Amino acid sequence: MRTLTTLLAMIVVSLAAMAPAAFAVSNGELLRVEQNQAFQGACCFSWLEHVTVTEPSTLVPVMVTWSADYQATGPFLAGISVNGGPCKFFGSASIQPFGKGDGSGDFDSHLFQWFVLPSDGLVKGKNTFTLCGGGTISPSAVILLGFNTMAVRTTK
Amino acid sequence: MSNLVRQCAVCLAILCFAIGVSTTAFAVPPGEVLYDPAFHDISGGQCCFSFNETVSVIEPAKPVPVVLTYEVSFFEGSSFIVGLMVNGGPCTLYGSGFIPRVADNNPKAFQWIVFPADGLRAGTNTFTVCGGSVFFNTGFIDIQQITLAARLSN
Repeated sequence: MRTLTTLLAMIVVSLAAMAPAAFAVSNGELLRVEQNQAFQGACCFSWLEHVTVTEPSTLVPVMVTWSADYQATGPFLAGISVNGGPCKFFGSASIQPFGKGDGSGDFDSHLFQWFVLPSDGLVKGKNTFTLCGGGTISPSAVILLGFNTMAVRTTK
Repeated sequence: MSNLVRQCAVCLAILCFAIGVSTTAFAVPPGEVLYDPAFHDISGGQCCFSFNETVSVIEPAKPVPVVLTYEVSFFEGSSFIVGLMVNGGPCTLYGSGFIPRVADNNPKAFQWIVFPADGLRAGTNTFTVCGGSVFFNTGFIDIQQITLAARLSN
């Protein structure tokens, strides 16, 4: 217990050494989250974070990039819901177990790049991309998302 | 004899072209992108200090967000956090930043988003990778094949 307390104190000290920032910042196409968020359950459900992009009259593919620190007590999948549709995978999706899921000790990090084609449900005008996912084996598995960013842009 | 001279000239031209192409391929473009293939043993201790890897962008009169991607091959070391110094300011996390001690020797990639309110200004803005050990003053990290890129958002 003492070791854990010491580790937690050291993490707090290390993070405090970096400049403080707000909880989340977004301009629609870009999102930066600066707070831990825990999710529990089997795949797939919304992880709440979303970005939006405006499509021209002739639809073009969209690239979504998500980069996150995390802890996970079991294997997880991560994907996106396009315009409120079902959670789907548009590229790699696997998140391997790491850490205790309670914010203590190390986090791991991962970057995903997903491509959404017009035939995947894009529409002219505003399109919303919501992060989603869940555990692949145990419904009791927990994923703790740390600082993370999500970005979307149309291809040209 | 003239044929021999001509053949030598052609060979020399091909050699010069090959050297020129290879030199161009390994050159590091200035400004928004950086490629550093060298091995680095970073042993500055606990967070945070500069890693001396910098890119820059030129912002318009009304600054727009900047998206940066940092990728690195990690070999061994302590638990590290990596972030950015914007225009020489304090080392700050602009997204994920953990490189855990239990590493699998795979590349690590990060996407960082810097908004105008984070200190961007019209003209040239610099972004320097920084960080350090999470837990120990004696922490270190061995990295190689570093890429850092910055782009203005649309």
